[in-house]
Amino acid sequence: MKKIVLVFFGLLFGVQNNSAAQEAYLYSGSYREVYFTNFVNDFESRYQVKFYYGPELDSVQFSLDFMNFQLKEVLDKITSQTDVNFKIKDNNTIVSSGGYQVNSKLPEGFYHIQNKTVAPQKSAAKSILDNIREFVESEKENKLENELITIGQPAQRYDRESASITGYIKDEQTGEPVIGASIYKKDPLVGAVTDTYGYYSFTLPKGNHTLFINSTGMKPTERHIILYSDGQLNVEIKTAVISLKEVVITGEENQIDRLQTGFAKLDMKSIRQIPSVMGEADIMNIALTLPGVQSVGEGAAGFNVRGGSADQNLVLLNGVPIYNTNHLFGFFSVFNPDVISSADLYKSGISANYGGRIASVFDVQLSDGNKKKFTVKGGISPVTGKLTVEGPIKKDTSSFILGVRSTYSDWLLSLLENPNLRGSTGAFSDVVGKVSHRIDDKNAFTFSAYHSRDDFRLGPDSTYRYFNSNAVLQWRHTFSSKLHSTSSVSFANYNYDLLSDENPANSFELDYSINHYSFQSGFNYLPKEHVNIKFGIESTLYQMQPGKMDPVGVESLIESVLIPKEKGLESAIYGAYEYDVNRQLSVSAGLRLSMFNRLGPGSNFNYQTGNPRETKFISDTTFYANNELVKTYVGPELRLSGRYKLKEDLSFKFSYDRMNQYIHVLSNTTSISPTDSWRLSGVNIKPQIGNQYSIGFYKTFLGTSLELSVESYFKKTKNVLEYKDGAELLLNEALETDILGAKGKSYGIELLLKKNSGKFTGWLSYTFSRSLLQAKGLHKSETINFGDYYPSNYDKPHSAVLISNFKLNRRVNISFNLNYSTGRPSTFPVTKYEIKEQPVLHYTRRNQYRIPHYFRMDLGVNFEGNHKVHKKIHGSWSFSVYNLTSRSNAYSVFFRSEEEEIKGYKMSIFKNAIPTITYHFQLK
Amino acid sequence: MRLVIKYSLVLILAFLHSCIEPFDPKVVDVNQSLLVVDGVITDQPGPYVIKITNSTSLTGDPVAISVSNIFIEDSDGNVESLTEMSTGVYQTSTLRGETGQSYRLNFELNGELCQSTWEQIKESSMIDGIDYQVERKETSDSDIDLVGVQFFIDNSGTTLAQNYFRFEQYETWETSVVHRPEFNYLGSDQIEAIAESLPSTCWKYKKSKDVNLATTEGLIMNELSSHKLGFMLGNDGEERFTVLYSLLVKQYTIDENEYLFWKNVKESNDEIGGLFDKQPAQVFGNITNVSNPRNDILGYFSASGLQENRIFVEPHQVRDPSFALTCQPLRSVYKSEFEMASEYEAALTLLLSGKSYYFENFIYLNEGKENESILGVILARDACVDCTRKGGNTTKPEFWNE
Repeated sequence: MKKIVLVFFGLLFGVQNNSAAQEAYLYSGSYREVYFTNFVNDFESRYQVKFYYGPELDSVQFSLDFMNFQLKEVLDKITSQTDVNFKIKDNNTIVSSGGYQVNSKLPEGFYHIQNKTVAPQKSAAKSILDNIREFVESEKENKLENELITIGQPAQRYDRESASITGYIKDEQTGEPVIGASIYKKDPLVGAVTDTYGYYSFTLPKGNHTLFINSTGMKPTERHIILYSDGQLNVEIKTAVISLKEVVITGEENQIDRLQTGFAKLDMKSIRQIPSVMGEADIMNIALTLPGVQSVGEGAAGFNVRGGSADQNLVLLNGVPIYNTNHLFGFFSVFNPDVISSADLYKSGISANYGGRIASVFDVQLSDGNKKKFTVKGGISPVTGKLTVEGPIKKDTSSFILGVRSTYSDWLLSLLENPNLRGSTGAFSDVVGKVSHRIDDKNAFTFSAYHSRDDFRLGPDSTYRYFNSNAVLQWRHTFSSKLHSTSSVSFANYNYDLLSDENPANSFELDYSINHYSFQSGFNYLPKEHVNIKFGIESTLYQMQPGKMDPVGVESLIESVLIPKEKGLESAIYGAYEYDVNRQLSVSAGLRLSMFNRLGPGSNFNYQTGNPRETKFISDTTFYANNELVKTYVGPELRLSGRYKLKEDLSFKFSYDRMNQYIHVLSNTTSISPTDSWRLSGVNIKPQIGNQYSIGFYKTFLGTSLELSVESYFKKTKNVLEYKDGAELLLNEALETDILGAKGKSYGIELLLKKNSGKFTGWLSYTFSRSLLQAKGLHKSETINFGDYYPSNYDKPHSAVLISNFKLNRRVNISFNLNYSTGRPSTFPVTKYEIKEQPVLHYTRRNQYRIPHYFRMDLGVNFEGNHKVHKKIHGSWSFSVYNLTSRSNAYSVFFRSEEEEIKGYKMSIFKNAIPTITYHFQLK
Repeated sequence: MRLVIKYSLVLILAFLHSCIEPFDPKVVDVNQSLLVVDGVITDQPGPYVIKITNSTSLTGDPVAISVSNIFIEDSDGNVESLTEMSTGVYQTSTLRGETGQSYRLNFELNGELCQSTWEQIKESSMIDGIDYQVERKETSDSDIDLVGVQFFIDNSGTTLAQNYFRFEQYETWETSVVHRPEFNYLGSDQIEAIAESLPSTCWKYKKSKDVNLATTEGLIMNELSSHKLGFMLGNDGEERFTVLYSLLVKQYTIDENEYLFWKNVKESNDEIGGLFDKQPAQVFGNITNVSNPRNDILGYFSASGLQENRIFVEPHQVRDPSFALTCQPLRSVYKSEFEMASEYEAALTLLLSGKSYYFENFIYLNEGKENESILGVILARDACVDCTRKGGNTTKPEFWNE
């Protein structure tokens, strides 16, 4: 029956130019106190009609009986019971809205195209119908753009001068919220960016406005509104159907207008442009192409932002910190690209609601599940297998997404030349899930959880395992159109263990773990136009097992070692006031008052004053009872931002950030190693403090298709952890004897030229930056390089990146990337001596030399299959060459004495060009 | 419900090479020359030797230098002056180190007093035994494995709670040759009897360069069990395990400070450059220039308990095909293979003229001589007939117990 109706519609559609079509069909049904959503679901499933409506209608309830009614009669009956209005368009599309009338008119040209493409042949009926549907979809968008939408109650139009407008921006296809979309009006520019729920809110003068909505990877759209009083506007936007994704990062749609300096949004949808070594897309690799973001070497774990160490980055997944962001030695990040929607990187201009790390915030957002239909996605790459399931739990109200990823990288390790790595095994897996549920217009919940596992055996004797877990429950509540809040409770755990079992007499297991329990509540208040106030509180309890070593097996002679547990409470209260003074000037001032309480049980060593901090100078030990206050640090953190628009396409920005950090990674290896651990501040380890001043000029050319930004910063840090020569960080009870609190100074200038549209897209960046440290203690053992400033391990003064993408035609796309940076500093020996006939190299000043420059050229070509949307198999080929010039970029340079002779060596991770051919195909 | 399966068939067209290659980073040769002291006093009979050198550039050789007024004192106030044997090499005469006694080294350089800290000779742990087994290690070339013998040591505790050790290893092994030529072929069927037979039995010596350290700190018992000593290669052409092999292990029982000194030396010299290795650090020992503390002095004056243990390893105890003597006859030419003598001569001439194609040095030996007439020749590399050509020494060590 249904099939006949379909055909029937198709035919009618093709030949009839008036709206008599729906009259030809009669509808029957009976509904008792149904919700509008349920009615629509049922009705759509029985008849060939499609409703478009906003979420505000979800909770509308009515009862209805009809027999052989025409469509219009059915709808009128609903209207009589509710205040829902309907418009029938194109015979089977119904647009409904609550409270206000939707004006619609078929656009010009509609019939023309319809006549041209549709032939009244029975056999072609299905595809004709498809074509029409596609056309209608695109036209619907156009129509919405042409309509004048009424917001608020006309009666209240004279109450005040301005009114606030709130709503959700969603993906039309999946119903998922679009995060980071901007909605704004021009002249003067007023607008907002959607939060993780796709929610936005801002205040406008009453009257007529044109609002522009855009977001990375989505088709820009606009809405004409007439604003009478506070009201809601929900917008569904479409994915831009571009088979090859364009530019990877967008600072914001408009860098000129954004208040903050040092911000970049990374879009997961467009990751393929940067050729990866093993065919596995990774969001952190993209971050590394941005100015001011660097790593110590190829495949090194962690990244460095503006001269900060890797532990100074707050890496969040759905708002919860990830304590180890690496899989497989650092070749991959822990983020499964299939379930991530975007990531925001804040290098400066960090809002008061973020805190706890002094260099940057890297906020990764999970995708929401598809609210409309079930989808299963699978992926097989040379290293990983992936499966993602998503779909509605209750249509349009709640949804879930679940992503599982697992690796089979052992074969890859067997290809490596390095015998230590070749004999190794490595495997990782991660599971991530999210459930979103909207209770009503004012309340929404999400629950997300993450678990990852890494397992690897390095060489013959040591097995490492580590696990990241976290879970967060978030509740979003809208008090009014002017005030909303987000609260969450979260839990996170990171732990590792190391098993060494080569020699039964020395077999041991080493465990480390950190637990994190957190509560956060943040409010966003928009009292009037041009003002946005944020305030909130958060508190995190850390419980740490810093190290526990136990013997393994009966033969083991290893003595158990237990480093006492650590406990600490980090709390903060913050407020920020954002004010658009006038068209040119916007300012934001925030204050975050952070406090850290180190709690007992525990003990700490006291050292004799006047002597170096060494174990032989321990004077006594103080013991603390459970939950007794050991040490309290309080830090007011001021955050200031300002933007002044010199011209419509030129702005100047300034920001000042002060940040405190109470939890630190101890690492004196070049790259973060698997046994590096987080430790809390306490009596002997002071919090790290960072002060950053940043300014920037932003200019657009040719509309907005070319963006230029010049940012400069100066940063001073205090109590940065440095290590004495030969420091032992593992299982060290008197850790402070091996640690120095260094001062840091970094500065730099970052130039970024970006082309966003056209056949040729990409960006070119150049960064000059320095990162210097100074350790000047009272004693020789507490002084590095005679107390002078010296380059940090990640000080790379010059760095330049070119990412380019040339779209030859709709199916062929070429990308070409260049990456250059100064070699990182390294310590080389100055002299050689012999002791016990053993040649020994003597090193003096730290980081006075550099390893050779890093240079890499990548080339990628993508061939897409044809673009028939409804093809069952969609395939694409990628050819890429990583490191096209076969340059063996140094990871480290070192010296060894071999057979009486000192020889210099260079280690590189990759020494060849790595060509890769990938065939992707999708079955639908 | 929509099912989307994404496949990526990836062909990586090259092996992923991670590599370590020689590299000259052009270090500015600051030639910062520092004074180096290398000396040890033990609980075993002396004389004890103190070496004083200046450190050099990375490519240079240590420069021995003389100091003045050099003596070792003990905590009871006894003093023994040292005699300079050669430049920078000083030796004690009657001093005998005693367990539990503390010693200090003093000398003057350019009128500045240099002094070690007081060092106490620790009680030695007894070596219980040395064990070994054949092991195989992969290299960056997957076709070549390193095969050798891994040695282990067990010892048992002292009255102390924990001990620290440094091990020195001295290898000695006997090698032999495959071929024992009687005649030297002079060409044109001319032979000459080898009057004095070529050396066929040699001994080779090697001191292991690895800094080998151990501690019982963190163990429930103050003893080492199967602590790894050296991994001695069997397939590197040195022919260690072909006739008889011996390893002498010297165990120095040291204190915690000296252990940390050596540990830092090791971490900055051997264990660097890897993905997760520590960064190199500057390492100072226990000697200071008292008059001018800013002048750094390198090296260590050690006072330690010394124990020695020697073991012998016979080839049948460590059997592996790759341990065999490496010489194979290069080529053999027999007269009977040729119809005419001139063809044989021609073949031989050809073979000899093309010698650079094979090896540089040949020694010709005849085999299967019959009635003084030559049936043919077998060609062998010189190292296959003369063991001194492989770096061996023909002097039999005193301790060799064949």
